[in-house]
Amino acid sequence: MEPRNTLPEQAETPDSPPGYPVRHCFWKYPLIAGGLAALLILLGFVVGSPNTPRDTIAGVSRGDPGGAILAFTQELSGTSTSWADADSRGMGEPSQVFVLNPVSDFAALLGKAVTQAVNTYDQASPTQRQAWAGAYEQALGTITPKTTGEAASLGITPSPDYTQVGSLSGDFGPVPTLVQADLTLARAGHLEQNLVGQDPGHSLQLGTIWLYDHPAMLNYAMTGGFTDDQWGMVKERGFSVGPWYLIIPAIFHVKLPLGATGTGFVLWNLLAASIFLLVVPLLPGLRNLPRRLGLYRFVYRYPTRDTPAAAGRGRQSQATAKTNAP
Amino acid sequence: MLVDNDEAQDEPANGFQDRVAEHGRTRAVLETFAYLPPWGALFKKSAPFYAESYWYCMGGITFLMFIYLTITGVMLAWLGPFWWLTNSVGQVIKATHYWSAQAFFFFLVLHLIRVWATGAYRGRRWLNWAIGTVVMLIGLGQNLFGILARGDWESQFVSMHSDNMLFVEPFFFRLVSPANFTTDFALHVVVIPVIMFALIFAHVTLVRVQGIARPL
Repeated sequence: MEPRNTLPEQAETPDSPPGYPVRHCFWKYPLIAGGLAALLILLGFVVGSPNTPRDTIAGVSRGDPGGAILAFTQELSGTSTSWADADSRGMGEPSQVFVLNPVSDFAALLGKAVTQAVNTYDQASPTQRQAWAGAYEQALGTITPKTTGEAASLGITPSPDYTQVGSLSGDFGPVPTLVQADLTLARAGHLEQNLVGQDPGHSLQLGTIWLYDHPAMLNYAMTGGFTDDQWGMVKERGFSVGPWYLIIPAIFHVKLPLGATGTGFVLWNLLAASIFLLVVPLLPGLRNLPRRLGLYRFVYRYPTRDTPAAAGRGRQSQATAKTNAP
Repeated sequence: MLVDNDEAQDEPANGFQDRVAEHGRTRAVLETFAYLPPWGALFKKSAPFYAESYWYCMGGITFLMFIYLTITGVMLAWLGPFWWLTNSVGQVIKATHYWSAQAFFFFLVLHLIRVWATGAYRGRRWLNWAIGTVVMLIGLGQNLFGILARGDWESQFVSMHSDNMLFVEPFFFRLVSPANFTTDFALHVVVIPVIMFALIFAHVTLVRVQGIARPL
């Protein structure tokens, strides 16, 4: 019978290995499967896996209350990170979601001043609200330490000095009261619960979005080298073995033009996928590269003096051997 | 070690005693799995001499790692994030899942090298090369959603960072937001594994139908 898979370029080469069949060659599989299972469980037991505890709104707000004040203020003024993607996430306005809704829900427990502040803010025009929040954000900048040295080069966002927040003066309207009330909720853990309650079908989404408004998460990531432009794609926090197999997308992101943009990154990856799919296997010249390089010599099994197959073991018949010989 | 399909008559007898007579009892017992359902139909019972090499095991071991990922993944999904983040047994299962993923990509790369180095993508086999490439690419995406579904600090940070870079781009039609843990979890546990399993099934079936590529 003629081999059905013979292709024009599959000419016989001087180092072609014998192709006669070897029977019953699966006996190593259970050993490999068992050995690998044991190895993986051992690695899981001894080495473990990345498991840095997640940030919480309460923890971050207690550790850096000035950053929380800044986040709440930027959510009111419309300059927080969450405003950029609010529509695509199907969430409402960050000012409502993170500040006004929670504070309104708890206003009765937070005192008359907070209730009054909510009413004042609700009754104000959008322009007035913007002016109050903008002025307060600007004032917070005056009590924010300047970054220097490595922190400045990394782009670290410093938090306002919380001990000086009370000393700020200006036409801030009810904004300081609102953000202080929200900070009280955040530090007690009530804000996180409120956000889960606002959107129970999207567990943890709102809380995580708020945590990214706070400077702490991104600052930590930049300090530790975990952002994408710091090869963060192939790193894990607190663990030495990261997703090394993402090195090619990481190179696109860090090294290639426009790779740092979403569209550019996607296009570079699509180009790489196209090369894998079409160019490597189909392009004349390139598709024959493996034959020219001869690396297959390290892959095929060749008979040796001690090989049972060479001595005839495993052969089904001389006729089959001839048929299958390349 | 998948086998050459060029010669249908190469299929040897499956009798246990025949195998004992040929290779001894230990080897016959070890390879019994290849003669029983569900694996029996997957494996042919002979391979070309040149392919009886560990290099030709890499695809099979990659599939084995997919099975390990499925087993540990079902355990993790069944008992939930609180269990895998706080319980000591849960942490070991989660870590085994993690290392299985590392092994999956490690053996996948070796399999890719073997297929390329032996030119096993030529002719009609290009279709299977393409399916394998798509499996690899989807696997990389599955890795991203795995990180997002993990529930630790890295999940939080990567969800926001990748969300800002990728998923708000019009290119993706704003289909999903990685900041949504529920979506990440559903994609990682149900949607992508089903697609991967279907593609791997097609990949293995084509290997079975087309057989091992002949030597360069």
